[in-house]
Amino acid sequence: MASIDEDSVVTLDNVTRTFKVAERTVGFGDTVRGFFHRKYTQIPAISNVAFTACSGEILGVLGPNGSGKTTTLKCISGLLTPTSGKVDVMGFTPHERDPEFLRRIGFIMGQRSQLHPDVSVFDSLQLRKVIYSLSDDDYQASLNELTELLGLAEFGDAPVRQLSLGQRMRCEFAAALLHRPSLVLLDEPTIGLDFDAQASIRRFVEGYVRAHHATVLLTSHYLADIEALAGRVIVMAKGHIAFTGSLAELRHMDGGHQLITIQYTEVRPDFSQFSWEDKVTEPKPGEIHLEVLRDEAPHILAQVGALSGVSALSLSDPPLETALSQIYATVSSEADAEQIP
Amino acid sequence: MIAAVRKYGAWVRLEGTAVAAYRVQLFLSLFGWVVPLAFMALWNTAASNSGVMTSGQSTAYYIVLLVATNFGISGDIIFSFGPMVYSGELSTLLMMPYSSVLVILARPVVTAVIRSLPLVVIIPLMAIAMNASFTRDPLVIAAAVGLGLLGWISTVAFSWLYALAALWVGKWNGIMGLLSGVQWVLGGLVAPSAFMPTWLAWCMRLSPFWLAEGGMGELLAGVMALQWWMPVSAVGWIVVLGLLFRLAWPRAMRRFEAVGI
Repeated sequence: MASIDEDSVVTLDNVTRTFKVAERTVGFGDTVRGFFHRKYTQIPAISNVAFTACSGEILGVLGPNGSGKTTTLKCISGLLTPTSGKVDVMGFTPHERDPEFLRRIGFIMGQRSQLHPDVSVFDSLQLRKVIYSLSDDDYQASLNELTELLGLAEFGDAPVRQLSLGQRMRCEFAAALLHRPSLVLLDEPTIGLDFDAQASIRRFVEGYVRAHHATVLLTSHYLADIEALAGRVIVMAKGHIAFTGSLAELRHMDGGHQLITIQYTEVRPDFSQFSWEDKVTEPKPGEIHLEVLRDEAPHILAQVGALSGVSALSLSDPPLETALSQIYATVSSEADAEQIP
Repeated sequence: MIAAVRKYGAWVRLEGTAVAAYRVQLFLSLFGWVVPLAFMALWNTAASNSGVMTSGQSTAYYIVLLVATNFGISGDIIFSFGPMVYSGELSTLLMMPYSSVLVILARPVVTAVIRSLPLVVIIPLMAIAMNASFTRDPLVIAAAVGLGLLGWISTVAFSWLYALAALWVGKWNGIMGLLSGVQWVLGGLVAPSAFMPTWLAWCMRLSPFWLAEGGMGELLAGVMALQWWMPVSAVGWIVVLGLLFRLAWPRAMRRFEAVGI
């Protein structure tokens, strides 16, 4: 159970959300029978999810498709009412949709636009000025800041439907942050963007949090987003929270391994004298990988460094994907085991 | 209150900007008068032989229906809400710190105003050319307009309630089309209630659609006298539908699964 402390902006306490889904059958006969005698199944999208996010924090939410990341954000935004459990956001119950609560949050959905497609971005922003009751001074200051940071000037007077994906995403950020919300929910904000656009969005989010001390909850399939921005991560799988902690702790989930990369020029070094020889792999010619326990790494590095033929040597943490894959596999096998009667 | 009106004005202005940006769509929307005109042509012929109403009264009746059906937004509500749910647009509207119910009505209101623009020309031409015969009793005129407004509010509430079915029913298009057909009959577009069998005439007269459309037409054309049950029915519908909507909206929002995003 998540405790509510004074600094927490978002608190989820054993939140579960299920969806009632009609069972669909295959074939005409079964479909007709299903018309008269329909069966429903309760599908839990998230189960007993509990965590807190504090003021000024960027919290990354990771997980494969269907793990419950977006459902969690929708419960926090108030779009979805939890089936059970409690969501507290800045003292508000989100699904009651108090206007004051809505004034204090911004929600960016990478796959859904909140801008009117047929009018210019500046027209949409002007509407938001009125809806969010911004004074002329506040609106102008916020608009100037966003125009500069997001480069809106070059396409702000074009209809949204004519913009490229990268341009549209920048406009989505402007629309969602014009009223300077203290909680920002980012659901796949960089999906489909090229490398440069991703990097510029990351820089913008970082700058916004620093300038306004906002809390950000970020879901992304791009680990680079999470690594660049999030101080803490939640890993979700099959609707459950499988891990909460720092990125460093997540990397060490696989038992604290590190990767030694050895490069050689002409003759492959001879590892036969070492007990770890069978762990050596050669993913491409001239480059050897060796995954070792963190404690053993300095000793092995010294052993490799003394060998002849080694041209370069480096030590790195294994990619996050390794730890994540391990977590997903564990949760999936546990969930499968639960389903077996 | 002023702030709320200002916000709604901003919404309507934005929707108006969007409609004005597309000339073909705007042009086509100006032909909302064709269907009432076709029914008028039919009933003008029948009216002169029936003894129920004169040809001038029939013209007056359909002139009122032209205005009422073009300003009516129930069809726009029932056909726009489903796509809003399934496209995810409703989710973005619900995130606004403003009445979601009113925001969703902004587009139908703009559409109704725009398609009513040609009536400024068409109605005087019809009235003069076809010798429309309206009542001149100021009390009846005031009562008809008042009842029409109450009926309009009732039909909006009714359509809203009906449109919420899109949150429960997967294939919503069919049932939305059903209401549209029922409205043509009950509202009095297909024929004035005076031409209908007694049971159907009373089904029409006790429906909110008739109050908003045909009822106003029959009163202003002098086909029917003002009667006590008309304001009772109008107020009754508003109270009942208002209460039902207050009960249904929170349930609909709990039912909302925010699909599409």
